Amino acid sequence: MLWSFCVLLGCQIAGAILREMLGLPIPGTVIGLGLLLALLCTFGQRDKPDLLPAGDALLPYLGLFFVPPGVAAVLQLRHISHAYLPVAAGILVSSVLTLAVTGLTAQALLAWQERRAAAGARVVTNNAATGNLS
Amino acid sequence: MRVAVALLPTLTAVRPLLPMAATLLSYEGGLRLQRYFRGNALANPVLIAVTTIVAALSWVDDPKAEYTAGVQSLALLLGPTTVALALPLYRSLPRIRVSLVAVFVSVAAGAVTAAASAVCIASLLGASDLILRSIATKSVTAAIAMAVAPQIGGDPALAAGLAVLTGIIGAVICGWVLDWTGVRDPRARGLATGVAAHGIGTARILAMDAEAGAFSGLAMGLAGLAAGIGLPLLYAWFAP
Repeated sequence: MLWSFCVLLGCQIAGAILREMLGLPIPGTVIGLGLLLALLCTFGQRDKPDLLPAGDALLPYLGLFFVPPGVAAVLQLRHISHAYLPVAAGILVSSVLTLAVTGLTAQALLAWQERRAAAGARVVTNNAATGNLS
Repeated sequence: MRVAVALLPTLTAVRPLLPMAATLLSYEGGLRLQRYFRGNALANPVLIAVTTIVAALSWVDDPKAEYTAGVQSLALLLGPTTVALALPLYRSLPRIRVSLVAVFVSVAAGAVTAAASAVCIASLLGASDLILRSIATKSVTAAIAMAVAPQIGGDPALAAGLAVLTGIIGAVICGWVLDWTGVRDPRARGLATGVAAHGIGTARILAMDAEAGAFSGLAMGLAGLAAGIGLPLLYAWFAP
């Protein structure tokens, strides 16, 4: 448990150092996420249930950890109370549009890719429709 | 009355503990409400905890300093937990690998929509220049928004605030909008939530469906990357 927590912290620290050294506009945690993914791809066993116990223990509380920055953000927004309407409308309408555009594009493309994969596989085997190709 | 006066020194001693207690209690309360209302989107634990605490802090002189100091240890865990999002991503990698085209195209379309539509709408409604430059990063995770905002002439603190607000709003409305537009594929739902509502949306959708959560985390990372690289480049080209 503690070891896996150290792995998470190590990736975060390595990400922060890389960010400083390369001057990237991405935060260290996101680089750390990429590093951990690379580590898992190299050394991980996908079927092992206790691959990274600290990660599985922390992830259900992701929402809780957003409460402190959330409170700080809402307190910060008091400074722009004069622009309440454009900001609220911008965020709300844009969020609806973004959800719809991304979701519909993804759903259509996923269905298209699966149809194509199934059509390609049918030539080789009749088992294509089950999707157990890999 | 006499009891209250006698308790006063004790109250001062426990005061640094109150922000943490209030955060855990209000979040747990939010979780229970969410269960009671069978996952109704408005009963979002992040939304409930944030509003409760902001309301409670209106009695405090310097709310930001006192609260931030009290929950520092909790805020510290956000980093390792974000790194841990690699875990659901890794477990869904075989399913992600066969849908890379869909992932990249939809995230790119969503990231452009998120930034462009927010700036256009706020601009039409007469928002100031500083707000426009800070709202462009509203859909990426707050840490990226803070890093990118100064590069495009925005305010980092304001950009972080708008990003968190967008995350909360997105986490509340994502279920309704995706149901209403007929997006049923959990992978597509995850991608949409990750692009529109970054980490807060990912937290919400991860609690319901591990695979959708993995796609949401992936979309959040890719959309952040796109904004982190794309917006400063756009600004360099079109800067007045």
